[in-house]
Amino acid sequence: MLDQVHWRALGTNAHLLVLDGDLPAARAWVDELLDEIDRTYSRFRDDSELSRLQAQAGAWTTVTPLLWQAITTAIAVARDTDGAVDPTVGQAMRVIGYDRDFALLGSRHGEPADFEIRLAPVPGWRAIGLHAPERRVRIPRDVELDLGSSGKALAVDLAVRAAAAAAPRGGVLVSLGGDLATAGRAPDGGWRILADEDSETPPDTAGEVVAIQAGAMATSGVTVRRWRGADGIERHHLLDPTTGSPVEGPWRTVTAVADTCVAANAASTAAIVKGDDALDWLDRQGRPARLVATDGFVVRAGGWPAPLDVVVA
Amino acid sequence: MTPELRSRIAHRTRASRLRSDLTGLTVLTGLVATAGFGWLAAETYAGTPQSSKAPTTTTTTDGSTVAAPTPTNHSSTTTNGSTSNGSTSNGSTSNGSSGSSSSGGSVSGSSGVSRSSGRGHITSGSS
Repeated sequence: MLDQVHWRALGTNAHLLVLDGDLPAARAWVDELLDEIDRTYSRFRDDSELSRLQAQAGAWTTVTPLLWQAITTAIAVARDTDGAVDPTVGQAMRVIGYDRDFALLGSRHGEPADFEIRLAPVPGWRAIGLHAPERRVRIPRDVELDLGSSGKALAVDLAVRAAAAAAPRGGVLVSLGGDLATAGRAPDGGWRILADEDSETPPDTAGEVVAIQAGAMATSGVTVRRWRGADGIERHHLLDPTTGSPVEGPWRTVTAVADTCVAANAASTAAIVKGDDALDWLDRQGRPARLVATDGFVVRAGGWPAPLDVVVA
Repeated sequence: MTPELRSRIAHRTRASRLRSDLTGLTVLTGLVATAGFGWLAAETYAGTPQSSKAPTTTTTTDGSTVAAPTPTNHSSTTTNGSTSNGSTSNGSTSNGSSGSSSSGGSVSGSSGVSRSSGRGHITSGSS
């Protein structure tokens, strides 16, 4: 039997699907983990460990295992994507106005101020100092971390592992804002996923449905999570580290499949940032991916199946 | 999307289709070659077809005739005890169908994602 529940967590929509397992127990495990993650590396909480680390910028600071994992994962993603997905975009993100939970951004909209926001390339992941034996981290004074991209994907990977304990003979799927991972046994025919541009779209909506038996899937895009900054210019949250400004490329949405949500999210986000080079890069990575161009043209790469079966509502 | 990118995508699509076609052609050629090789091996060592016009006697330089060797046993034992039906086996056991391979033949599902005709359990999208 497939049970599911959804709720709000980490500023986005959370979904938990449990096949032949204990849904309440799985939810409890996931809740506990997401609470810990929020306390550890939210950049919107002054009392989070990441905020405290940021306040210690310039000094070597010992961090908890979870924050260490989040930071080293972000750095690994930056390295594997040739710097396209970089955790040192925190300051650029704040400058363009994404400095609080997205749900609160709309509350300060007023008349655009008469000034110009100046953007610059981000410092880059190599600026972060790591000392593994003692789990110490050093962030330079002029660098602000934003673990949002890989951090959410890591949360999904950790959450699905936690939830799997509640379905030892079944399977689980955890989704945070449309980035998802699975563990254990899949339903007959696999976990069916509607590949869409907005994670809020109901899964039984007409569209392109694919199935995975295991692994993870993530979608990145520039069509949602947009806001109008204090200078009156509308922006989105996917930044090009080489300019520090929101990406303006050929793709508006990319969905990718990988073994883990971190890898899938890295691929989908990097593809948006890499723009014209995304297809060749995805080929080299061997990642199945579905790319939607800004004009709606859809390209499939790396073994993503052709859309022969489209669900009609 | 720029015309240049659209052109690259079209080129890429054509290349993918050609690669797929070539893969299918290669598999077909391999199967035909394997079947042909097996048939030839069977024909060679079984001494058939019966309609073969191969001589049963050979004339020697001195004018005498000798009988051509007739295969009497389709199996032989190699020095290390392994058996062969006449084809060179180099010590391993062979059943005459050499040429077929079990490796690299399966390509289905390699991407980890497949089509589905059902309704989605969940949506993957931006948030």
